[in-house]
Amino acid sequence: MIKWSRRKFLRMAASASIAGTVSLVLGFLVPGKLRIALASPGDPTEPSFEGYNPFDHLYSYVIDLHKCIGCGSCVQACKKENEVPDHFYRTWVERYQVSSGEEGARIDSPEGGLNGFPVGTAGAVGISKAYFVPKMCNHCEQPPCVQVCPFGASYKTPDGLTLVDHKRCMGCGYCVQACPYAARWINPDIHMADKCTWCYHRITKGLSPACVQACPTGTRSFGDTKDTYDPINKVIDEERVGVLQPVMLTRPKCYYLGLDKEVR
Amino acid sequence: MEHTKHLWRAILLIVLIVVVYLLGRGFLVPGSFGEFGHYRGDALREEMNVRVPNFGAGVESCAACHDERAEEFRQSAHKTINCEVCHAPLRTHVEYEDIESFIQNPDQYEWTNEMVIKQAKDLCIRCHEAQPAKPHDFPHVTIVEHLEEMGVENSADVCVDCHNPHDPSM
Repeated sequence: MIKWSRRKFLRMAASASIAGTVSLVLGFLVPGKLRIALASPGDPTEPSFEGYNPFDHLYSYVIDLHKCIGCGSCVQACKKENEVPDHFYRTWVERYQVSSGEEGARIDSPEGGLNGFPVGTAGAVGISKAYFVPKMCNHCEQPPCVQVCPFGASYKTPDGLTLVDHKRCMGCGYCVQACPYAARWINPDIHMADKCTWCYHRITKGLSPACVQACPTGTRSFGDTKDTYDPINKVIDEERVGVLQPVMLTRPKCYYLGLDKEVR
Repeated sequence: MEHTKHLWRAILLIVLIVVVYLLGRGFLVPGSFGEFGHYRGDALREEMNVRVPNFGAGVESCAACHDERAEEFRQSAHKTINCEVCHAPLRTHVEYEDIESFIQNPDQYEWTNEMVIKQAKDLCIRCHEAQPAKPHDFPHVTIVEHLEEMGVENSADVCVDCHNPHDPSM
């Protein structure tokens, strides 16, 4: 048996454990960004997606209110594509009916417009103007929902979407209250925040969102503003597009054509 | 030196704090954090693969098999409507089907998921029932008046008696 003094033993043990821990930390446990940079010697922003790089796209959505007939095909398609629970809507359609001489508009949205709009539900007497307004998450550039999330579960993607990390969300509902467009809700099945994702599982495969594909009148259109050949660029560049509640300074990526002052 | 021992103790303590911090951070911060922004990068991949799309890529997806229908449909006033709006999402029709054996023996193959065919007038009314909020140039009628005018008795699937949904013009 080797005879070490207590001092020597402690010194050796301490330095050995420090050296071991440091090498372990450097080897395996460096923070994510550094590890990725170490792993891929090329562009550190290059993700390992299969054929899809979110840094190459930036999406926008255009809703032409002159064309909407309130059929609710978009609402049905969204429900079927995203398996949205009953009485909850990732997208919905509102009907505004304005009468001359009357303050404000009569607004209704029976079942989110899921089954269209019966003529009688808001009274059709003395209407001077009426129109449908499809609504959904505006995927704001400055989203209040992301700002208030205490768990960092809501986030902005490089391709311009606002999404929820369902492994981080605790279902506290702060974001539901923060959204000025009422686009978020707590999913009763998973008890977490849920919202429109612009069908991220579809658009990353080159398909359009289910609501856009279901729209029979071309009210809804979706496109990539980084793709110069995408027709959506022509609309945004040449038409007078508006956004909902610009006073909120959220800078929505969802543009409306033919907005009325009553729409909020 | 007199104070070497104390100096070493202080250094050891600092090193220990740094190591504990790095260890804790390593365990608590997810691996893909910071890949695209201040969040877990894998969340984006999970969202991307949340499910196989239920809807196909539009009329052309259906035309891959049903070209005879699609040809008529492409010429009609209804050409802007996706087939799956009136029928059902494509995936509900083709999933769990043995496409290989269908191709080999199309006549003998028995479909387990027949496509939904709806003929009730509710479906037509959603778009074509007149109301003030609809754009004025969109073809819409008050169904009751229209039937009276045409002298047709009202029934659940009265529209398809005269109008072919795949080519509705008369």
